[in-house]
Amino acid sequence: MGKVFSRALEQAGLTDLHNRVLSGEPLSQAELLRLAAADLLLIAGLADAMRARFRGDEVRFVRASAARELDLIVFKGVASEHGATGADVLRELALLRLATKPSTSIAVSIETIGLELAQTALLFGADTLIGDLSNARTLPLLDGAAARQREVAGLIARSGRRVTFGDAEPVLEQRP
Amino acid sequence: MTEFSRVEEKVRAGERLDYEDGLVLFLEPDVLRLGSLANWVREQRHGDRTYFNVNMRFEATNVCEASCSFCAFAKLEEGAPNAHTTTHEAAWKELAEFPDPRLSELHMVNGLHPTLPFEWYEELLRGWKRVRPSVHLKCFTGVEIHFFAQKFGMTHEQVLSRLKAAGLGSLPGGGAEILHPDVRQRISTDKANGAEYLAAHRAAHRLGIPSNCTMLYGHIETFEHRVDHLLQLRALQDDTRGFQCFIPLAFHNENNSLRKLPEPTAIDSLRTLAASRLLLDNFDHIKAYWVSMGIATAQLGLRFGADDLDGTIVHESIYHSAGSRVPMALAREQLVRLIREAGRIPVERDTTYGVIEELPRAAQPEAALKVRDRFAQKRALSVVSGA
Repeated sequence: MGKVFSRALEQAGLTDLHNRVLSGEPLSQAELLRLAAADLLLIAGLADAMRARFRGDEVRFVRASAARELDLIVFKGVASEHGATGADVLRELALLRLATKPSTSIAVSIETIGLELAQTALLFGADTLIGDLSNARTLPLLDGAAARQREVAGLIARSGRRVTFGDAEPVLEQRP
Repeated sequence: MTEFSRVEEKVRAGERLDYEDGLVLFLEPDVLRLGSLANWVREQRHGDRTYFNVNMRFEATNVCEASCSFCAFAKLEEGAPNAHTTTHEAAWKELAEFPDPRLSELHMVNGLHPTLPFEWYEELLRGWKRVRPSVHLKCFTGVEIHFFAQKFGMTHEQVLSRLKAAGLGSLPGGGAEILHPDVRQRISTDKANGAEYLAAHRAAHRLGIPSNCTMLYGHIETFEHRVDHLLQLRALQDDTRGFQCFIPLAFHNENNSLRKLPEPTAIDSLRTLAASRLLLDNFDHIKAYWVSMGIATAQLGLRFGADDLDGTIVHESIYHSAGSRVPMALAREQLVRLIREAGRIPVERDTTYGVIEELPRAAQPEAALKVRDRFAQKRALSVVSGA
């Protein structure tokens, strides 16, 4: 993450947690409490470090029906009487990553949190996206299944990652 | 040392970034690292203070001679379906009856109307000043100023001087699109070119009229074009110091002739905010405009270099014509909450960044309180379920 991140961790007194994260141990409740109110980018950096080391850069894109067959945890979002803000959702997701055994896959549903936050969630500890390429309501992308698949691949690539569609239905090129 | 580490060292040493450095920013795969660097610069300049205002949008006419390929707002002629030009009386009434006494700014952007006389615009401003003199009028893009100069046979200075005399306070930043001619000639052939846009702003700054500037990103341009654009704005700012704020504008693809292009993603928006903060070292303010990039991304942008969320807006047509899915308005309380939940201090400002009210920060973000409460009850993170 670079010197700026390291220095910010140091100033926040959280360097020990970085070492714990890289050791492959989920953080304890006491450690998560220390982190809960920390700078959002620091929490993200720790969650992303854990994800990168133990889950790699591959992002799976799966349909909801296929996700039920997979060994993963689905992040459901945050309940709030005022409506959770994006920062609330991402903070909670990153804490979830840090609280979970590092080898565990963590998924976010595009239908639940929206495309905008789902892509950003890939920076906050998520490694799997659940979505339906045929659903124009939750995936407001280009027309045509193949174009939509390319666009999903592109948005994942632009988060610095690579995608597999292994558990999604194969997408057939649509003819006009 | 990686290329990004080298750029990071330059930033930390206070050295100016160049064109090649700008490309490194846009190509860096570790977006969080880029964001952390931009956030560091933002906090050096503003700490946690984050600006917003209580404003309203107004579009006097959507009739426009120009035919920009990304635009879903403009109608080519009066009488076309959905073409609209306000009357003075309706425009003045809308401002006079605006219910929020905290309103500090009216932000107007228009089409390039082929027949309205210049005096019509002057009288529009004068009337607004009569009904609500305290409201700052941020009106007419650099493109509109250039259009008036051409159409009415005046210089930029003459146009701006007359509008200033009628009540104009500042210029919004719209119309910059991408300044590089290779792109501009393909998306905006029949309005001010890049040099003319900059010349209009230079003239405004010479007359003591501050302005904002923008960049429409995520369509046919490359990262090279974005860096070139930002450096052109930085060069003008070196000369005049008249820009208040830079606002990256995300391309939207509905109801326009670029509808086959994908829209920029949230991460592209965050990357662009961060790169802008790092390259535009002579700009005080970088805005995460929630109408353009979405509310969640704009809020997160406050950790990626931005220090301003824009305002309440109330009614916006340009982005909503092109498929924006955000609400038409955000209440002041919603803006305050978004800023607090991002861990920042909300500061209500006027158009020229005078402080109207600085509000207290949240003791802790809501999400942090929820975690604490759950742990106090010895429950695990309750938002999780197995698939």
